[in-house]
Amino acid sequence: MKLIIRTIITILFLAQGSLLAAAPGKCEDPDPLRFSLITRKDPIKQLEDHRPLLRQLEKQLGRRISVVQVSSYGAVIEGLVANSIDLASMGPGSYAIARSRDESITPFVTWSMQGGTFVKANSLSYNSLLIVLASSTFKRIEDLRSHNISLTDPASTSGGVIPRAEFSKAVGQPLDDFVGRVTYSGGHDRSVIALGKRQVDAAFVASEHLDQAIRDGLVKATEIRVLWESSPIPHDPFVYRGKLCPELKAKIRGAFFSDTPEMREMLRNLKGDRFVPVTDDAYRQIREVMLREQK
Amino acid sequence: MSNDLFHPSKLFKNRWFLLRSAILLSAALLLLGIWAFALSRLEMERQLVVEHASISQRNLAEIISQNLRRLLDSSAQYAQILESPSYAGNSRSVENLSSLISGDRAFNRAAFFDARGKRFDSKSTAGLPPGLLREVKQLTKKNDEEGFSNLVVGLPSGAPEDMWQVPLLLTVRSVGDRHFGILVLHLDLGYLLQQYRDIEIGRSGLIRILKQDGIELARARAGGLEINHTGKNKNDFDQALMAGTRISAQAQDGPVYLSNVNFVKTYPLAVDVGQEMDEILSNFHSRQQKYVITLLIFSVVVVLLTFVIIGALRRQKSYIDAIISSEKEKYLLIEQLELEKLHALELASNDHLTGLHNRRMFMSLAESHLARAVRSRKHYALAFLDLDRFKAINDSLGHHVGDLLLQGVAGRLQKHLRQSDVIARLGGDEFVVLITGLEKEDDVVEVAQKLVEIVGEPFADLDGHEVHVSPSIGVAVFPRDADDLDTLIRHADLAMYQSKRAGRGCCTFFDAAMNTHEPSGAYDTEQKLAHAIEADQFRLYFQPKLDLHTHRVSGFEALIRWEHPTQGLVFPKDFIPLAEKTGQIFQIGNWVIAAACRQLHEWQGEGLTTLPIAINLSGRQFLDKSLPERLVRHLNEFGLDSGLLQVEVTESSLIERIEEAGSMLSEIRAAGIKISLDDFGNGYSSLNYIKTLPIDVIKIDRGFVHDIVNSYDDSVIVLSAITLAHNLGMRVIAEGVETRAQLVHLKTGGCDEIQGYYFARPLPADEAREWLMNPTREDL
Repeated sequence: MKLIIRTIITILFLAQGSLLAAAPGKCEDPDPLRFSLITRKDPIKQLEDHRPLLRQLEKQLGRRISVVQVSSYGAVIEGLVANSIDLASMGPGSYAIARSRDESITPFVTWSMQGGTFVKANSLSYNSLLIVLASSTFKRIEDLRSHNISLTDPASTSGGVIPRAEFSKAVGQPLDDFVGRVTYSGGHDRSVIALGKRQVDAAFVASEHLDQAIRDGLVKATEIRVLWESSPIPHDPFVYRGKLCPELKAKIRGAFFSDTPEMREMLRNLKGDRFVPVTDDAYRQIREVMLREQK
Repeated sequence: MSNDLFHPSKLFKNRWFLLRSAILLSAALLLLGIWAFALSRLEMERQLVVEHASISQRNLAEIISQNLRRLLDSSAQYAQILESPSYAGNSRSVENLSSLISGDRAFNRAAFFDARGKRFDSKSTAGLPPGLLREVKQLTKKNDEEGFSNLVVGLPSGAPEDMWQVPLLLTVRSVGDRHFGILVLHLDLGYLLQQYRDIEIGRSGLIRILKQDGIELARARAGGLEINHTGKNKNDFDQALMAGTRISAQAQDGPVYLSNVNFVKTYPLAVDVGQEMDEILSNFHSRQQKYVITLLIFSVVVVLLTFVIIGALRRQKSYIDAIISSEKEKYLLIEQLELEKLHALELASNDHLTGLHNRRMFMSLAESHLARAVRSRKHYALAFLDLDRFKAINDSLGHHVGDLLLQGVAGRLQKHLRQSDVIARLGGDEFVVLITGLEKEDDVVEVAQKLVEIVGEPFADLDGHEVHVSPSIGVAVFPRDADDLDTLIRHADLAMYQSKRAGRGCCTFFDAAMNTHEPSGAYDTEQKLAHAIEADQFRLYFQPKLDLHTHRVSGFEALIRWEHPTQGLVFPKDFIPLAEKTGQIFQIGNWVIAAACRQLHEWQGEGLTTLPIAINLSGRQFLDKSLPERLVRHLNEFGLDSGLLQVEVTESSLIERIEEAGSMLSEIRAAGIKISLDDFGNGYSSLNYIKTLPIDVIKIDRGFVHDIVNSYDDSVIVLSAITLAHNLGMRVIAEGVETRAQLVHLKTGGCDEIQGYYFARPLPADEAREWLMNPTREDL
């Protein structure tokens, strides 16, 4: 035990050196750049999808990109707030939470989607869908009263925030009271799997992730019935900490908009059409929803 | 016959019942056994399934507990880092810790507060979450205690994004408590979710992480995490939180859960892994259902099979019954055939007209009777019966009446004779009867006379005719007259012809001594008797006497026979009385004396050792004064010793002529001739009287001898007579000895000599000669 503690302490001293280099007040130019992703789906698979982006960034920024593995949406928020993550792919909801804790966190790019079963082509938004199995007896929202549903993560937009906010408004009572049991699956794909296994009766999932699940063969489009659809939600933003040096920020943005094989591959992986610049304005609405929720 | 050999139907009925019961019983036992076995196996399997589920729950709870413990251990290490001297009191240290923690996926946020809840690090503006103040106070109070008291698990704040963030409060103390503070680390439940989300815990599987006070921090299901920090899940079960296995409902009326609780060592947390009993047993239930269905099918099959077998047995039984009844029929048929065979045999052995035995049957029955008779002391006689003038009746009244007459006779014979007697019709009007088992010989005479009577009675109505008929009967006695059946029949036949000649309607015995009637017309006999001597028709027969002391022949009694030219052998009984009447007795008497002497002379001439011959004297002969002289003269004539001649006289003849007899006997005796008293015991003589007479020998009458064995009285008379005679100096001879028993009896009684059929019958001279040559009879 002592040995372990001493080792940790030694590591900490080494880390301290690099951290101390970034003096407070000045802009930060971290090397390596610490990147993280919210846990929309299987983290390993998700990381594989983002490999081209990481290669492009390393090329463009001339430094190593270290990936911070997280266990939940909240971990990314926490990381950004605690300056331990520099660049992240977030959901609108989690961005909103992070922004509420640290004003300097800035969204800068998102992407328009290819069309899918549930996602309109070239759209800049998606929806949260309440889905049930087509073979089930649930035909209307009311049928789900007191039945078990699956959410994704408390900080997920389409799988947590929107259902609680918008759906609750639609049924006129808090989600937790309307349904029987709420289970957090930890990922959109897992929600779909749980539904397929009938571990839950219904699930709130993002339309884009449902399309992905269909593409991945987790479920067939015909097996799904949509009972409710949220108002459009802007696509996930990439965000960086506000303390990063402007040159670094510009380089990062540049990496997204350079037409390289890596970025084309990246778009293919994301089923995106193109990357689109974005500002906090796009997420203002969702942030308001979140704020209302918190009150 | 069938009854004795074959009673299978009843036997089979019992066996059938037993067999059927046995089959039903074994089928029932089989089913009972299989069901009992299967149900007990199922119960064992159910327990095994629950046990296995429980074991894997315990294992999972243990693993998660250890994982949690490791996480909490590392949280404690983070706190220790802050305590190190280089960190102590440094506000930046928390910031550095945060970046350190950012690499740890289990923890999200680190914040450092002083004892009042004021935050040390400048980074965050937020103070200690209000809900945690109570825990902080708890920590400050107990900071000296050992174990997990320096760690308190708080509850996540109500904010949705904080739902998965479980605050861990850890005390941080530098030297001398100067910088006492509280490190708050947020445990990311998402970390746990990602770790365990692929664990198969089943549809109703439930993993709960609980604070030691029973408040639930998180519950994971197959679909993911459930969050409920409101404390409303803190139920009775949680209040009584304790390690181990329990089976209970998590909520009232809710499903029953099997759950296992494991406490995280040294930390105030517990892991509860549970699953609905129904789900645990669902595979088992479907298996059980399959078993039960299979067993039900099997049972139905067994029951059907049992009935099929019983049905088959029943059919078999009916076949067997059919076989049995056909067997019975067969046996009845056989019996019937045998009856018919018997009937046929009867027909063959019976005379169809009268229903009596025919000759063949009679011969066989009579043979077997006589074979038995040899061994018995009873008397047997064969009667030959012929109807007189039957041919005339037949001719005049017709065969029809003749047949009726024969049937009538047969009926009367059957009616009056005993069952044991054998009656047969030999053909025509000839009947033969074997009279069996008579006690006394004299009874034969009675029976014979009765036969004459019953047949002689008129037949009142034979088809309208009154018919008178008389029988001629001839009787031969066994073994007196013959000791084989053929001879017996021949002799009886001869005697029957005597009866015919004697004028019909009478009965004649072959042994003339038994005849009660004159065998032929007296005149006719007298005429013929006159010529008998001239025609040399008399013969002397000699019956040996045996000395019981020496077992040698002691002499002979000479018996006269008349070889009648037409009547055959006539016995003295049938002509001597007549000869006495006509006076021819003297001539005959003389002839006897001469014949006896001549015979003695002849034997002497042959060089044989002669033995005395006794001749019988008739009472009339006492009138012949010259008799003694004549006796002597004849002896002398043939040069014979007087001892070789003896005379026998009967008591009755002595009584009649007592005076002449006395003197004459004295003369005879004086001549050296011995005198025997014949037929002793029959007459009126007393021994007192006899002892005055010159008697040398007394001969005990055959009547006494015959009954000596059976009659006590006769036995006493004979024995006392022997004793008295001996006392008077007389020898005793027993006549008519026919059986060995009589012989033994007499010998024991002291009798000197015997004479009788048992020993030897009266023999012609040439046969008697044999006895002279071999006089000894040791075998008697």
